Amino acid sequence: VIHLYAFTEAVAALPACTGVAGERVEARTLDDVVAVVGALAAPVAETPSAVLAHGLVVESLAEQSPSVLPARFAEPFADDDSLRSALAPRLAELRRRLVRVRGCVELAVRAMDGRDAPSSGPAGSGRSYMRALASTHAERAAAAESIHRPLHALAAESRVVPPAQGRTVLQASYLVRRGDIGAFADRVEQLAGRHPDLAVVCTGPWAPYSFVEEES
Amino acid sequence: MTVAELPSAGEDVTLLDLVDRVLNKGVVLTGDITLSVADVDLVYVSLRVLLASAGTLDRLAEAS
Repeated sequence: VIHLYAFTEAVAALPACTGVAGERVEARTLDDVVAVVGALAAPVAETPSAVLAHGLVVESLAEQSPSVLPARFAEPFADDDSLRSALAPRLAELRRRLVRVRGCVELAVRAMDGRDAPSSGPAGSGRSYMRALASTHAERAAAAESIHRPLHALAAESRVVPPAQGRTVLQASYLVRRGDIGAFADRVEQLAGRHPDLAVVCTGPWAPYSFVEEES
Repeated sequence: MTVAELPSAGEDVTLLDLVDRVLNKGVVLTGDITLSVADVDLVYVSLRVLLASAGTLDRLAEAS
């Protein structure tokens, strides 16, 4: 079976690291899109080591090639023919996105509130609890916006994940040109300084996992 | 303040971000992805354990 790692425009050299089953990584060319794959004897389950191996192939490739679109860890294709037929209707879109992410990396930013959300203690009325909750929500939304807006201005594109339950105030990904990584990191640090109540964490550079599709 | 309980700007977050990307983002060609939520949770948990013992992603990369 064929395990898919990523797409790229051209590969000068394939990553030296091995894939999810310890296999050598190979290239399959479809027009001007290169699929980076591994030929496996059998499908591989999403174990921690397989997930890491997949991620490491993608990241190694991203270090070597200016333009990489990571594929999600998914079920493998039966053979090269089924990969090609699944790929055919997507080639134009993939080509557009490869151009879009060229020379860029993904930086992830997460801001978390160090304070507990208001709790409904026995002494508090329902109304005051709701009011406290609403004011926390508004404060967090304002903080998220004040971090996101200046970072978005430094990025080619951005994607914000709607905050889930809990303390997450902002969870976002930014597509940043390689030359701008330092400026971006400086800006994150500066913004973190303005929000002493929040833990602001920036990770990356990653391959542009969050930017494989047009913004919806 | 319970800031100490938050993920530090370190290895935990980096690895969680990697796993989140590999399992939840990226191009999907096969319509049929069978990763169940439970499995994903399991991977998260065991990766955290793995991380605690094995160190950063770079060290994991060197070891593999």
